[in-house]
Parts: sequence; structure tokens; C-alpha cells
Amino acid sequence: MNILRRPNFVRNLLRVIGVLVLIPVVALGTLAISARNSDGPSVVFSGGPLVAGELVTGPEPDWSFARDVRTIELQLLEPPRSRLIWIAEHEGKIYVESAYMGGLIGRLWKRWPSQAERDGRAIMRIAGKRYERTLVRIMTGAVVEGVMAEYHRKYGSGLSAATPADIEAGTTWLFELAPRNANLTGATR
Amino acid sequence: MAFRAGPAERKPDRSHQVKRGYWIIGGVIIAVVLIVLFVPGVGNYIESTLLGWLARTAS
Repeated sequence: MNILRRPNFVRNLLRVIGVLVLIPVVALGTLAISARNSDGPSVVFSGGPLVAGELVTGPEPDWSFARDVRTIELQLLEPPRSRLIWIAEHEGKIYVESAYMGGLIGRLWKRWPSQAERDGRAIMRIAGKRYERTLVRIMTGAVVEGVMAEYHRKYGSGLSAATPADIEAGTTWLFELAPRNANLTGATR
Repeated sequence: MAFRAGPAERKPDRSHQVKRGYWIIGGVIIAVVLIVLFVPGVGNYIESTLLGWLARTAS
């Protein structure tokens, strides 16, 4: 008798397949929910609002220390979710980028750039301190080349392979983390 | 009124098998949640694997 014709075999096979599908789904769901309810993000999943850490106000700090910081935590005010992100310092200003914006998976994966373009108000936590910022999208200009060169120096050309042409084409989005009082929320330049 | 000849046909009772299936699924869910939350390194391993896949697929 053909083994596939046995109802018990098919039922058990479907059960095993169901459990094998269930395991990664539950694991990823657990990580996503756990991150969402945390003060800060995990590697992949966005976290909750940034709560801990002194909120720094006053004059702009000297951002040169950011050259040695590999990742920061960045939270938009709307929606109030945080994520880990690379940072580049160039000529006293700080920048973040989002790659993979050219394809469907990238845009599904990374929704914060579109959200930041709508409302750029953000809080970032760097070295345990929080700063209020405004994300301003940069698409052209002389600064783009300098920022991308800093990204390549810091993270290596293999990991950060974006070029000024990618910024202009929109396959990588670049934002300046401007001071909150810059009155440039969600702007593009 | 017509009657069927012979004894009444009874379907086999599978309720205990169904219940066992639910228990297995519930056990798997609870085990996975506890392992991901409390076994050191498991969450990081899953996330780094997912990140690698996402980066390869999205590029």
C-alpha cells in the first residue's frame, strides 16, 4: 500500500510541518513583542520609547565623539518606536542613513525613513544620554560626498557601500540629525 | 419509516487525538517563548540570522 494513501501519515506529516512553521513564527513574534515593550530597540526589531538616560538640552555638543560610536538608538516621536542605527559625524553635524530603500522588501523592512519624512521630530540616545533632534532628509549637495566618505571610513566599504548617486536616486536615504529648534521638521534639502 | 439493516455505524472517537494535538502545539509555543526569552544567546542568534537574510534579500 502506498504510504501517502494512509490518512494517519498525511495527518502526521501536516502536523510536523505545522510545528516546524510555528517555531520560527513564535520565536520572531516573541522577539518583536519583547523589543517593542523595551526601553530601546534590539538588533532587528524596533523598540519602545527611549526613557532612560539624561536628556541633554542647551547648546550643541561637540559631536566629534560620535566618530567612535558605532550605533545609536533613534526614536521618532510619531510613532514612538526606536531602532538601532549607524551614525556619521561630518563637519560638526551628525547624520544617519537608511539603505535598501530601492526595493519592496527594504521599504517594508524600513518604514522609519518615510515616517521621519512626515514628522522628523526624534530623540536619540548616544552614550547613555538622550538628545532631542529633528531629522532633515538630505538628497543633494556637497555635504553628501563628505558624509558618505565618513560612512565608508567608519563602517568599511563592504558594509556601507552607498554612494552620493544612491542618495540622489533615493535607494539610500540620508538624514541630518539637526537640533530640535531648527524648525525643519520632516523637511528635505 | 425506513431503518438501516445492521448495527449503527459509529465514527471513531478522535477527540483525544485532537486534544493531544492542541497540547503539543501549546507546549511548543510555551517552550519556544521561554527559550527565546531566557536562554542566553538564542535571541541574538535568531536576530543576526534574520538580519543577514534581510540584508541579502533587500540588497
